[in-house]
Amino acid sequence: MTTTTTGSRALTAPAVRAVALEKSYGDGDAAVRPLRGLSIDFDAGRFTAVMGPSGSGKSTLMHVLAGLDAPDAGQAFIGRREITGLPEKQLTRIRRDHIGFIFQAYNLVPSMTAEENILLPGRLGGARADRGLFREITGRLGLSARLGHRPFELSGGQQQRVAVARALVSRPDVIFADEPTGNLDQATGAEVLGLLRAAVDEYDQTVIMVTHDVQAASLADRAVLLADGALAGDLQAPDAGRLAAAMLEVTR
Amino acid sequence: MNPIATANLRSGGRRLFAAGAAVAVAVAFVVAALLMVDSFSRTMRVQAQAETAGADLVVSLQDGADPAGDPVPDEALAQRLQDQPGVASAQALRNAYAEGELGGQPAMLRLSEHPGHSTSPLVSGALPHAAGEAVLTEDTARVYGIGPGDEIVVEAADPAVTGQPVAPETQQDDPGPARYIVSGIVEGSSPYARAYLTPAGMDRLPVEAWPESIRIVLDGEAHGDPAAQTAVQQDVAAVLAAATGQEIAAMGVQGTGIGEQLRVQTGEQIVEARMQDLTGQANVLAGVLAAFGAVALFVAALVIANTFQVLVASRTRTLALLRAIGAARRQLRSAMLLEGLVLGALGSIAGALLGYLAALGLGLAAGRFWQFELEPVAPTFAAFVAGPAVGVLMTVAACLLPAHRATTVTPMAALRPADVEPARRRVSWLRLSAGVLLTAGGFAATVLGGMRHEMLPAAGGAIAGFLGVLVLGRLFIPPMVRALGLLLAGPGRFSRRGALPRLVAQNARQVPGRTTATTSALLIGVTLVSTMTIGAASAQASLERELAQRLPLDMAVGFAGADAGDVSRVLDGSGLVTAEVLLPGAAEEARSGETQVPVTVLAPEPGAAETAQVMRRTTALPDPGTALVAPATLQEGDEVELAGRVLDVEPAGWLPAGTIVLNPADAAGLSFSEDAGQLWVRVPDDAGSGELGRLTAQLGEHTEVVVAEATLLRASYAPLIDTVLLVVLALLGAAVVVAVIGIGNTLSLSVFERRREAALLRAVGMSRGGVGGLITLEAVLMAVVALVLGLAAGALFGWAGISSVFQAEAVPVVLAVPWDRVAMIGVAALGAAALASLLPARALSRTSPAAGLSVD
Ligand SMILES: Nc1ncnc2c1ncn2[C@@H]1O[C@H](COP(=O)(O)OP(=O)(O)OP(=O)(O)O)[C@@H](O)[C@H]1O
Ligand SMILES: [Mg+2]
Repeated sequence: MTTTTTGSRALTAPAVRAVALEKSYGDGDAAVRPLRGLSIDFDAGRFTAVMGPSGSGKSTLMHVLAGLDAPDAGQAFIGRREITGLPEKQLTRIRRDHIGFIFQAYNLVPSMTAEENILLPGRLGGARADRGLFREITGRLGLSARLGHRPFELSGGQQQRVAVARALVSRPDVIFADEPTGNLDQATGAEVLGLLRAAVDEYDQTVIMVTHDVQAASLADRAVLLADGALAGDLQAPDAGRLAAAMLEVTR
Repeated sequence: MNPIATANLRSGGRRLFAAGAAVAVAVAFVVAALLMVDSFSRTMRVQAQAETAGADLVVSLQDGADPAGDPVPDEALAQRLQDQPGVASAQALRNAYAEGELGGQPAMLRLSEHPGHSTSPLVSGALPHAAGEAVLTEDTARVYGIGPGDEIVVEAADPAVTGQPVAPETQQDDPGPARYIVSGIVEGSSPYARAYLTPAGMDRLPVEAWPESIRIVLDGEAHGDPAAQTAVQQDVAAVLAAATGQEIAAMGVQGTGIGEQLRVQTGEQIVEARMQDLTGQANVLAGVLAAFGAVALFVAALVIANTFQVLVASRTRTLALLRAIGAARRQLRSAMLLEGLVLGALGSIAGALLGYLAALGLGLAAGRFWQFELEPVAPTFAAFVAGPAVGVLMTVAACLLPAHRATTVTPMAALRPADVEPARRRVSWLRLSAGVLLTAGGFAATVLGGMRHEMLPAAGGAIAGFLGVLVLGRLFIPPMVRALGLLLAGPGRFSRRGALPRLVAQNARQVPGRTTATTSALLIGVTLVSTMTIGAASAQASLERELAQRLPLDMAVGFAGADAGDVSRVLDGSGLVTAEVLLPGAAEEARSGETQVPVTVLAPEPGAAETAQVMRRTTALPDPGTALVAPATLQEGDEVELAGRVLDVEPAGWLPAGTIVLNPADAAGLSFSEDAGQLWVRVPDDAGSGELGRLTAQLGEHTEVVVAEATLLRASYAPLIDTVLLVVLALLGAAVVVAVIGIGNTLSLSVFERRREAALLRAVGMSRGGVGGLITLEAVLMAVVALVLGLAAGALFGWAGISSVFQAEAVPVVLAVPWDRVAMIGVAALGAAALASLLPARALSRTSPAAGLSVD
């Protein structure tokens, strides 16, 4: 639903930026620090994979960058806009208008049909959906016949595709996906990944995806590796082999 | 429409049903009450109009005037008005009340002269012409099922039934009943049986008829003309003033006053004056109904708030997801409020219809069962707009807090792993301090109000205190349920028997909110009902004690000149004697000052078991040196000289005239005999006034001295208290129905929350019956807690309520707990809880073990 033109996503300005992010839970011995002074830029119009061992802070980073959670210190930017410290109202508007989400599970409002779920962000913003885009995306995702169904009538893969459609139809600047294929079989997983790829290639959106799967990550333009809340690796145009090696390195 | 609200309503559907029903019941109550009040006041207007039917001016007694005084609107005055210019006729009407029979059924009758000018059309038959003829109003004829040709019997006033001692003179000229034949039926309605007679018929009445009014009809054109009425009103007033030598005074709708006794009113003024009177009454009625309506609405609001609280809890994940993808707080809040609005509107519409039907039914029932004919219930703007509006407002207001809670869900809540909720928030400071303040302040005000006999602080305090208990419920209700569960489980961690109660106990800790909500719903119902029950019982016990204080003896039967055999036959035959004692008496002369009177002296032994059984308070008997003296026995003085002894006088209103009671220590030397004695009798507490009246009348045929004032008093107020209690309980019915809907509601809502839990229990090997039993046991334990708390609160409120109504000096209040009724409340509460748990228990026990694994 954005009216932003491709031009405004100048390569010079990163679409998403993290500066010295700090986040910790608990005190003393029990304290966990999922983010330890993490700084990272995500370029606009690119597909970035975020990898790292379990508990390394990937999800926490995504939440902070997407304005779902506040860091203890540091800054997060969406485009040129700093979102850390923004009042809740404006943050909500930024999430609605500029950010899309795909979670691992619980992506959909159970009482709404697939179609309503897909159109929800636009309706919350009061904007009319682009019917053409809606038809095209649902068609490509093979959802055309299932639009009237409620989430519990859909398979896990179909639910995930509905979530992807939602993230695509409202055309947010940035799509965050936290292990979007973790639940899916190989074929469906590949389809979802293909769509994310298409979002970048065809619609010029920015995609940031957390994954444990090196095959999935190898579809990205870039892969960053996290370990203990800090950046531990950064690969451009990664392939599965190099990623696996880097992962081994980090885990050790 | 708001897309979130649409989706919410879709998913809320079944869960909202109970809340909608609660709204409907509460609104129905309000609407029915408004319609009934409207019908009531219209009825009064119609009756007032019927009373004056056809008369232009009415001369009658002022309020508070003495009907036996002078002047009264009688035939003599009517004659003087008859010749006034402009007056076509002036008829003096008399009026009488009597007991009698209509078509064989006992009835309280109002009898008056038929106004010759009456415009009430004949429905059937003919107007009365002979002294033995009467016409009835249409309502009276219908209620008693009689018509032309049937008989009316008018009884002579029966002194026995009125409780007065039978004086021999009035017994002799008992005129016996008068009989009339119904000649026709006229249109009209009245709250009592009404018959019109001819003047000669009035003369035949065996009871006294009082001059009631003079009805004046104006000549020709002037008849029915307000200007002419007012003009002649002044002339008539002047004539009356001249005739009686009194001053004229304008009295507004009361017309024109002549001195202290008479007034002249136009027909219009009479109706208006009557309506002004009645508006007061109708306002009281409306106030009482409004209070109960408020209770019903309040309970419904709690049910709704509960429902939405549970809905918010069950939607947390969805709400968080909505927040994550950009729904503003405002949007979530308005979606929730919109949901409440729709619910409130639907519930209110259903409620308005329900209330209309209920009012129609009540109107019919009033005519059929209470013989009180009301104007037909008609939809009014107020009832159909105000009632539903209040319902909608209440529903939306009840949603405010849950709606606010919905907006506090963070987007992160969507991302937490399912069901691993962090420990529930503690009770907030605000809530805690508000609760403590309300509870402490409220209860303090209640106790103070009760002790100082002030109603406002007692009632206000009770409401505030109870609200406080509800607010604080979260703190102590779950631990109580938990303690009960553990108590039931007994020791032994893994005993099979204790497994269910132990689970209940754990649940109470795990979901304190739900436990509190369910228990609160029941708590409200139990508190309301037990307050009323205990209050009524306390009122009764207090009056009882007061009565025993003043009137320690039920009945004293004198033997002087009577045949003891006859008296005991009557007494034995009545079945009304629980204990009796024959006290020998001594006929003596008592001297006080200059006078000397014959008296009967009794000297019962205060310590004797027989005396104790008969008397309600033996401490009423005199100490040595004191004499109890019946009123009007001695003329003066606080000392009496009796058989050479001088004794202090203590008046005792409960003794038959001419009786003196001594302590046995003072009675030495007197010669007692049974013939001169009295029979003291105790009758059952629940003896009715009818049977007592019969007994005193029968006894009166054999002997002269009968006192049964205490028993008659007791008999007269016992049914009153019972009736009031019954009416109040019926009114409370609406609130209680809503409360029961409330428990059912929270329990069934819990089904949605608990599917996963039930599936898990089934998966780890619990039987279906076990799962169902768990729910029922939980409900029952919560009911026990609600009972304990509700009865305690009810005892306090009941005592405070009664104590604040009574004046301390008049009746010291005692707290009485009617255990049989309390037991009934207990059974009802446990039953309601078990019943309400049946459906949810069934639903949950059918959960398949796999259900726990599926997501949403
Ligand atoms: N709400 C919370 N309270 C306490 N600790 C938390 C919370 N959320 C995350 N953590 C901790 O922060 C650390 C990082 O968590 P995060 O979810 O970011 O890891 P992750 O890299 O996404 O792991 P995974 O690959 O398993 O999803 C973990 O050690 C986790 O236990
Ligand atoms: Mg994660």
